[in-house]
Amino acid sequence: MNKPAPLVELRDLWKSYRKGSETIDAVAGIDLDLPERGMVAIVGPSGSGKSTLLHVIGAMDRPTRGSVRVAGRNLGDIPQGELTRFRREVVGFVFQTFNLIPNLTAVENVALPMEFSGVARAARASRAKALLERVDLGQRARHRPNELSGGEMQRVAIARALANEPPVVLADEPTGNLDSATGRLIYELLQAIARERTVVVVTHSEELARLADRVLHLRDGRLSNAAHDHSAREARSGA
Amino acid sequence: MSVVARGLRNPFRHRVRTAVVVTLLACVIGILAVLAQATRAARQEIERLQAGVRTVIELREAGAFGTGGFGADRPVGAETFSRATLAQIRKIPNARHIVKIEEYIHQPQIDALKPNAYAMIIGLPPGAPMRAIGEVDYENAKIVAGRGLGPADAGQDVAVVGRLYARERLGLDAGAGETLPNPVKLRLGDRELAVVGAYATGNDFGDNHVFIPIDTFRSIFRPGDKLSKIRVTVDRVDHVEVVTEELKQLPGVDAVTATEQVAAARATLGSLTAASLYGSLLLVAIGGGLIVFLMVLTTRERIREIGTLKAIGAPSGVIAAQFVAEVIVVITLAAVGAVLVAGVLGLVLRPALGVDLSLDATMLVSIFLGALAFAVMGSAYPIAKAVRLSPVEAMRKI
Repeated sequence: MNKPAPLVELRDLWKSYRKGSETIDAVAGIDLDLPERGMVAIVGPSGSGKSTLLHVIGAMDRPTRGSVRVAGRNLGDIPQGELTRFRREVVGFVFQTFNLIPNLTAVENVALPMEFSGVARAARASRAKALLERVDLGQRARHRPNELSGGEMQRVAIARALANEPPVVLADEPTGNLDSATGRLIYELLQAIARERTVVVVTHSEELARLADRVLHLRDGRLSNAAHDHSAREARSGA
Repeated sequence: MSVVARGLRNPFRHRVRTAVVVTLLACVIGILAVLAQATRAARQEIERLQAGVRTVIELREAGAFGTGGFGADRPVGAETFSRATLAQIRKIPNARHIVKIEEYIHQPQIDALKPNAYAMIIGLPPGAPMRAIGEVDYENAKIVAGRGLGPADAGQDVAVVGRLYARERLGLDAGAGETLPNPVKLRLGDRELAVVGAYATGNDFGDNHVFIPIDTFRSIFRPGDKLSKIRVTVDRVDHVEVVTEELKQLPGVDAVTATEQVAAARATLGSLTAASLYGSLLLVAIGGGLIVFLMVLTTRERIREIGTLKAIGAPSGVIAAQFVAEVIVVITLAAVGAVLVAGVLGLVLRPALGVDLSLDATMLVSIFLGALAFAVMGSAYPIAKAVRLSPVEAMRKI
């Protein structure tokens, strides 16, 4: 029986920046396969290239060298204009600072990616409400971001990331601006989402990373050998 | 919520700041509107001045003496400066610039026994300016009693006399504002004319004429087709010189104009027009620059939001449409405020400037569209720059 193709496939991936006369390799020759479901945590110190790696996987940034294949599409072959559609259909982003549109209500924020995809008004309103229910914010649908707590804002952002049902959700330090209890709730929510799609989380927190199915350690743009496959899940199963 | 609806709502995200921006823009646009109106009024005034200043060319028989217009007394039928000259004038290439042709004919009335021995009878189209022959130049006769001649007097036996002539030859003392005793009669040749008015120029030389309708003159003195003077009024001071040159080409005609004064008037009016034009351009540049500056400031801080929109899949066209809708809302609000500002300023400045500063629809629409164009230009650069960035680069900009 053939092994299923990975959802995310990185080969000899490099991302370099020029800083004055110096070239900095934020991502330096990464090879990585991620399966269709499950939660992957990328940990490492500041400047290790975690966010850069996430941005390249999500077509938010172009690699300097190497290939990125996500959901069967080689990002290097996609023209710049088409990358917008890729981001809309294939990935959902969750940011550390939530990045909600301040004058839109929670339900309007969640509906936004669907509007860009051309989903009919009634359908997107209905789905946005359902997604808010799923993150337990059904009662806060008409509230604007400044009327929500940090945890609530991040849950709205997660609902927004799921709006177009992308196969991959990319979360960049999703708990970085939250207290530990709220952060844990957000992780549990991401864990639940990871049962049906791939969730890649960048975090500083080793403790939260242990809740992931797989932990990748990044240092100086390179994956270390200390990656742990399914360690958290196995730990939970054995408990 | 559609992209347009979002764009319409976005300006109210920061109400205080939007109010400040709208107020600033309203002041800029309103002041521009008033100044543009003032500039237009000034230009209209310049046009009016151009039409009236030194645009009259005097034609007289070639070689005729000075202002008196006494030419060679050619016999009837052999006149070289005559009504035929009028037809020739109408045929010159630049006759389209001529707005008025007035003919005059002079006839001395000499009586050595009178203190005003050498009087002048002048036939003219009734209603044409009564140009009295002054000591050094023509002087416009000002009616001091009775009335002047009007179109209804054509062919009538009526006359307007100078104050000196009235006193010395008619025994009348025509003071200012007086009505003439009725009836006062004046005999010219075999005809008795009713004196309907008296004029004054300020000097006796000029006050020693009798103005009568030209048809009446011809029927009394029978001068044939002879004319003493023709005065041609040109539409603009700019055209005086070219028309004068062409008039000089007519046979038997001297065309006289105060060349230096025409040139000076044209230079002065030209300077005023240029100053007005450059002033308007400067104001538009300053106003436009301020609008662009304000829009750049208000748009730059949204670059991070543009990055977020791009990250969640917003096409560039959608982002641009949303921002254009925002700009239109801001400028529309500013335009409403500008009408108020312009209205108040217009009321305040109208007495001081002495020009009509009322705004018309064309001016308002022009200013609104101009402001919108500047605002779109001001927003276009930062938006276009942000849209071209990758989402990551855009979100790094704070």
